[in-house]
Amino acid sequence: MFSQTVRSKDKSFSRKGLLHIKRFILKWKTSLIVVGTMVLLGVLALLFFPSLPPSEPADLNEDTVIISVAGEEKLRVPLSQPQTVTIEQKDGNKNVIVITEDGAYMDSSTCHNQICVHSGKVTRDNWDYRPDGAFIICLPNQVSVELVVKSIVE
Amino acid sequence: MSNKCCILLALLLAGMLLFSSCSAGSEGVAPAPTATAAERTSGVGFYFDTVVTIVLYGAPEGLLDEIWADCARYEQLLSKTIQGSDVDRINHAGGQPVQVDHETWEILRRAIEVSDSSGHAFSVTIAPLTALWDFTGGTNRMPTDEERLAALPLVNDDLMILGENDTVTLPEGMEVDLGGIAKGYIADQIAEAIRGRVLGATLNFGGNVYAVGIKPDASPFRVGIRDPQGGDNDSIAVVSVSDLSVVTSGIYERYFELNGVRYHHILDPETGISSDSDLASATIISKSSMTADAMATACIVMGRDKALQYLAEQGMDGLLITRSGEIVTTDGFEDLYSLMRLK
Repeated sequence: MFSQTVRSKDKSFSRKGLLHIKRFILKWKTSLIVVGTMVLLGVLALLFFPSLPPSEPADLNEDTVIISVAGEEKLRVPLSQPQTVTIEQKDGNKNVIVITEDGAYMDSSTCHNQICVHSGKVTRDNWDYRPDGAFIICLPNQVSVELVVKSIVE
Repeated sequence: MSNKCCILLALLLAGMLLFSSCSAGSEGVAPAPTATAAERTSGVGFYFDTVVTIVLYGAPEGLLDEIWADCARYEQLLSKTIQGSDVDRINHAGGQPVQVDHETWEILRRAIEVSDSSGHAFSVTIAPLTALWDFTGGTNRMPTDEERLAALPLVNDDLMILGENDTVTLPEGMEVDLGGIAKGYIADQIAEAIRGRVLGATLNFGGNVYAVGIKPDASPFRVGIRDPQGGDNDSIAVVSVSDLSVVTSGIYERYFELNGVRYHHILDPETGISSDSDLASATIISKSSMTADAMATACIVMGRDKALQYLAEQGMDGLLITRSGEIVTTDGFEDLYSLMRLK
């Protein structure tokens, strides 16, 4: 019984509802086509292009030095802001990186082999033909300096 | 709003939606990287006692993490110093057969091929000798003649047995060290895994450079070849490559000087002493970074003339730099790789 009553009420409601829906469709026919088309094309776009890659970080819009420790990025410094950066680690190891208007170099390091200090300067001009490319690496202290030149990401 | 206006607006918005999806260089089910997909991702990792630098152009999200996961897996498998790795188990099996991962077995098989073809100028069982030297720890340790002569019989690739079901048997006291080739193998595997998923990439495994695809400006990648007499990052020449590995071995990489003599890390398997050939460095360009790695080491031990002949016989492209600074190449090298000499 309970269910029938409900159904009856439903039928009554359904008839009224259908009329409302019909009127609604007639009134907003064009708008519905617009929305429907957009939804359909949106779904199609998502099917063919399921995810968008992250956009380029804003601070790479100019030539930038990225400094990382143990593979984890710590700092980004645009070449337009020349400065000296000191990376001090808990174990007492220290690297001093000088960023100039045209590149960067390792000024000093507490590491035992000093390879990073002798790696010279990575610049806008030489980054793609140095043996180590755009990187200066201090392996013992696990500090890396990378020059990202804007022209290559354009 | 009139119907016409609404329809026009719908078409405009839909077009913008589709255009934005395409032009962002987004990944798809089977993405075909294009020149517009020039997003750059880079990272530095520390594996295999060396530095790994990765630069990817137009890579899907998460690819760099996949690469690091592969590096970590291979390190666990191939490191000589990690307890329980395949190499550790082979070296401590006391002469008993050890079943290893198929990849480890395959690396050893290919190492033996280069060992044989090079007349053992490259040896994968050189570990007992290298253990007697310290080129990196600062102690400048070198073996006495007695120690060296005792270790020499333990360096013999012919005694390693690669059996069925990926088993490896090594006589007691002998040890393998994949340091000379593992980085090349991993570079090859990762290059293969990312090919087609990126527009371009450079993978640098401690000097084993693999250039995958092209740069965003559609040009090949440039790789600098170090000047053996220059600073740590001075190039003597530059090559242009695409989908190839460039591997350089040099006597300047790890060395110490004692009583006016420079001892470097490339040991002659026959003598157990740093190679005294006339070569300062050997650069090999190949699809196989692993083969290039092993052959570059072999070339240093062979010396200029033998190395040139060996590379020609093997159909490999190489650039050799003598101790006096002379650059010699295999036939056609300069044109094939647009060799640019800086000195």
